[in-house]
Amino acid sequence: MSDDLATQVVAARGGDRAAFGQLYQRFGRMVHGILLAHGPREEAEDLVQEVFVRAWTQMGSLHEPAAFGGWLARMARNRAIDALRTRRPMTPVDPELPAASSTHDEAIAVIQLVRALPESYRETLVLRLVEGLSGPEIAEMTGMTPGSVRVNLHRGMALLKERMGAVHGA
Amino acid sequence: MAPDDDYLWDKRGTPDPEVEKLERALGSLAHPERPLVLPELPSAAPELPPSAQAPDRWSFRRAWLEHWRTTPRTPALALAAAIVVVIAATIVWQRIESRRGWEVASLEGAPRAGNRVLAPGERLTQGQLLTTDASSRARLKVGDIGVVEVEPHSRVRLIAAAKDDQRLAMEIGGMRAIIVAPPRRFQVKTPSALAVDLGCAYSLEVGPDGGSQLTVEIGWVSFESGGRESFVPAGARCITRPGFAPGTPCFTDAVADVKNGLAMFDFGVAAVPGAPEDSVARRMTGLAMVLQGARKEDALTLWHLLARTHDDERAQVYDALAARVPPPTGVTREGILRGDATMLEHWWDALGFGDTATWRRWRRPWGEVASR
Repeated sequence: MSDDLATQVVAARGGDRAAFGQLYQRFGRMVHGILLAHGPREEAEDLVQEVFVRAWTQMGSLHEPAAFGGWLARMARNRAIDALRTRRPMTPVDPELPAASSTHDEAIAVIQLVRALPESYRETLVLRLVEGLSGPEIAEMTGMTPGSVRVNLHRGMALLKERMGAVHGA
Repeated sequence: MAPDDDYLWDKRGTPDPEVEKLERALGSLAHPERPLVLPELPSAAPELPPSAQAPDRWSFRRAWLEHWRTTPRTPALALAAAIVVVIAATIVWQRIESRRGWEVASLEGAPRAGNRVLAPGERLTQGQLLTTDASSRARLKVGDIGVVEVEPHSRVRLIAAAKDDQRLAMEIGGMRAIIVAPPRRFQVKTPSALAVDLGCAYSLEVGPDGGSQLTVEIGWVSFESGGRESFVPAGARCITRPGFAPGTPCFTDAVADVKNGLAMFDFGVAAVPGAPEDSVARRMTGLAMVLQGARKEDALTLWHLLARTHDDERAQVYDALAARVPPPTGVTREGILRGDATMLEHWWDALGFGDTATWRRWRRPWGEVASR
């Protein structure tokens, strides 16, 4: 973990709001991506705020600055799971997807396919394809091993292509 | 790896056209980076060391001194009266401070509070660190709601000692708590999780790495961290590690496969020889060990696993739990797999640990419950 990140985490743990703001800038995309992998975009944006506010109030429970990314990722994942338990079920993936009428519609159609993938693939793909994080960045932020991230990206993409091909008759 | 895999991995090499197309299509859903609004932290933040609390003790005196410095010179008699008032106020302040804190009921050896050795009848005051060595232990009264026994080789700090808010921070070592109070009146903070008393007796050990093990003897304890909770009944234990959500609770007499499986599933530990190297495979192996080794009594563990799994994993857990405790009427496989909270609670009610009202109650002020 870089020295500046350790400095930011320690400062934020001591109540430094500016330092925590820098952590938000740094990890916001990761948290948003994890939430988006589990639920609708409108909800993800609100939950990002919730997750970071919760992290802010619980910074004192973070014993090891190096574990910040993984700790935050787990918090986001848990919040997404809790939201899933209280939400009505999402519209299931319809194999008869209509032709996308706009770029946004196409994005929604694709993200629904991504959400139908196994959990280990969907989060990694969202972080890469939606949030624009590279594989090494995903590994560093989430605490996953680079090897696991690379496998998830490779297998997840293969499965996504297969399902997109099945949907569009490619 | 082929060039397109490099691009997918770290955006280098020849771009894969299909990946690029997906990036263009999905980029519009990326994080909009709205400004973050943070609440003010509570003034009695447990993270603050005692030295940071010292200004509260001295600010009263400084205010008087500043008043003295800035007001016009007074006649000698008024000056003397002001000094007497300051001295009296200081004495009263110190007496109030001394009444706070937890009384030492008994002890062995020479436990220390800060730099001094504690004696029976003295108090561990708010913010003070209690340290025990190899031959010492202390028994403290937690207000009027119970006792805490601090084991040798321990460091605990008293965070709050108010009537409805008794809190301890355990840095390392062991303790046992016996509490008779409405839920949430007593909490113990460890480096990796928060133990919330729901009316019980339990022991808690914190290791040098900040990990902890909670074992409940009577009643219930909620173990919380990172937004995830584990509800631990009598006869069960829960393990935590820094950077992870609280582990899945299990009974202390569960078979080794269940305990080792949970270590692999919850924390990715290579708990058995030949455990897979890959974290995903290790998690899957751990889960399989738990599901195969679980007895009917381990429904506690299986129920918690429902919320910690998705998709295929959740389906496996459902099948394992249903084989041991059939879901009651109104609880369906489809509903559990999609995470229906009401069905999840109904199934809990059928497990024999008491209904969900027992541990839902802890979310509400005691007065509301008593008036129902």
